[in-house]
Amino acid sequence: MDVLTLTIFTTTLMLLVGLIILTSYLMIRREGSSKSGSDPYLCGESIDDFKAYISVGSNNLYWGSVSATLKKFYEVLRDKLHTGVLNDWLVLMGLWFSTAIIISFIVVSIGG
Amino acid sequence: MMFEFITIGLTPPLLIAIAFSLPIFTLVVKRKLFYDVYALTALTIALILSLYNYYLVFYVVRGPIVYPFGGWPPPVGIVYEVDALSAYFGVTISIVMLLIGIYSVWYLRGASGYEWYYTLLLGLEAGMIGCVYTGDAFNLFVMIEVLSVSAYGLVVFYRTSHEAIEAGIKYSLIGATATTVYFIALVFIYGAFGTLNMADIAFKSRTASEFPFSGVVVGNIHLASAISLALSMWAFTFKAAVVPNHFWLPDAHPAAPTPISAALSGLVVKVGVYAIIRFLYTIYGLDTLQPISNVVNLMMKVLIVLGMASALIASALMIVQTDIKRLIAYSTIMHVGFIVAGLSLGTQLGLEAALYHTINHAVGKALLFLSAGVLINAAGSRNIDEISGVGRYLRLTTLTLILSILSLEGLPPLAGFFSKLLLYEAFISSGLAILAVVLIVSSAFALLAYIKLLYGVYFKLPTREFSKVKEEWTYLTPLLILTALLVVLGITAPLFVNEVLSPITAELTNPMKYIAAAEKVIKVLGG
Repeated sequence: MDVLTLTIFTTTLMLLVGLIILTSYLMIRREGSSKSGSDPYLCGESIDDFKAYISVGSNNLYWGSVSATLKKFYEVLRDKLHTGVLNDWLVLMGLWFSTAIIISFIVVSIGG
Repeated sequence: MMFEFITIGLTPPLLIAIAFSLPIFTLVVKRKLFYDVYALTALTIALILSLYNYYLVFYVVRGPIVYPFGGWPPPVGIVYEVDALSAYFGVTISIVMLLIGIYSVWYLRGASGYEWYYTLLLGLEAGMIGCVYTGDAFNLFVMIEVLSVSAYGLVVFYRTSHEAIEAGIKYSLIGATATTVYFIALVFIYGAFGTLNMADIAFKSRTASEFPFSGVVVGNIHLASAISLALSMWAFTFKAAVVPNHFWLPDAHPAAPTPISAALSGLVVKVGVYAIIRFLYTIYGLDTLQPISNVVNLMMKVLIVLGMASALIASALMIVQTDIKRLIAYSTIMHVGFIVAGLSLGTQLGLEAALYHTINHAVGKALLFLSAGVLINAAGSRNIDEISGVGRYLRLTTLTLILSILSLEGLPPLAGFFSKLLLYEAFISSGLAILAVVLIVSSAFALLAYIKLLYGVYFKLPTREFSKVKEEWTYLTPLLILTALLVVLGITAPLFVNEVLSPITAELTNPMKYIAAAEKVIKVLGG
């Protein structure tokens, strides 16, 4: 059996196992869950104003790593390179343009 | 001879004629239904013609087919030369475009300007198919312009949006620069080779001998090839959105209407990839005369570096995006990076992997954009936080979104897994294990971004009611077909590689068949 066929066979088996686990879970899980989850008691205040804060915001999911560990990295990558300003892009695009021209000249000069 | 394979020459001009005729109908017909049927009919015809052309190339002629316009032999006249690579790209483009067309019927309900939208959409497809069918380097320039003008127009479809106008201006300004740079490359080619026919240039770059009608070379082909390669690679890396020529993409793709974002991300950038392959393998190649082959070799090495830089930079930036469409747009840069690195290995396996990933990404990315478009439409926002929980009300759409993400991430048995596996094998067998590491690391970064997206769309509690939101079959049909394609492309991987990709790479690594097809037509038409 070649590698790709073996992979298809194995992954189909994985899929079947996954489906069995999912079906079992759906059969034994507790009834009564709702789409919006269970509402906490907030001293009689309207829950709608606070719903967004029940779970962490999507954009804050990696706050720790992005703001602490990789802060410098993202400062350069996002705030200095990807500024959205056309002139800033042209410098980098021009760099690749001149590199391509220069290396072509060098190769032809050496080889020709 | 000329009319034997008329479908080869018919496809792009017919689409252009249909596109340009559409505005005339606006004088008499106002109903949107008419334009929906008109566009879908045209897109279906394009698919039938592309499939027939694929059948001709793969099963009837079993080699490249040349269609000389006006009966003029190459290199005197402009020809279309469709080989296995062109036919493959043609079918990919027309399938995805038809599904995007069906989705557009739903997307444009209640919108104004749909007649211009469809005109440009058909123009876009004509441009893309023209680019992959042409056998003439100058005609490639013309078709890139047809494609680009349509794309610029579609990006600024929402012309009252500041964001769209800014993105459109940036895209068109740099796009026009890139096509001009490619035009300058053509000047060098014509000045040295005395021709712009691809087969003719391919023949002379390998033999420097006389070709019918254009005669012998007329200038320093070594220097001209080096400069034209540098210029054209710069222009094509812009079209393909490879770092550092990628800046326009994260602005342009989100600003466009969602079906257009899918077309731009799934297909338009692939035309740049196609042009890179055509120049690095057919027109020039590792088997060309010294020092042209050295320049090709060096360009491939530079493209590997740029491809991997694209993958790393784009995947890192995916994590910090708050706009869903922008996040998906960065993912396109990452995948194009994989593809460009794979095709630049210069091996048959690398090419197969890159071509396989091209179709898998085209289908997967179109599905991801179209599914996300439904959710954005329901929530009325592109911000991941503001879209919270909408997926709970659109379960089938969320399912297709998840499957597209799983395929792009490389989960078996979906198609993306097998192309990533092939890419991995290609990197390892070329002795470049570092590329395999980059593939895994950038996929891991992307996974974090996709988890953020899924968390926002489905797992985070809804902050408002979406009770009026309902699934509709108009958009579900293309989504489900694309999902089925991802599964089929995955489970038929060994068959697909052997029956479709191997013949393409065999032709690309032996371009003499491409040259011979043109010579055969010259003998018949030129006497």
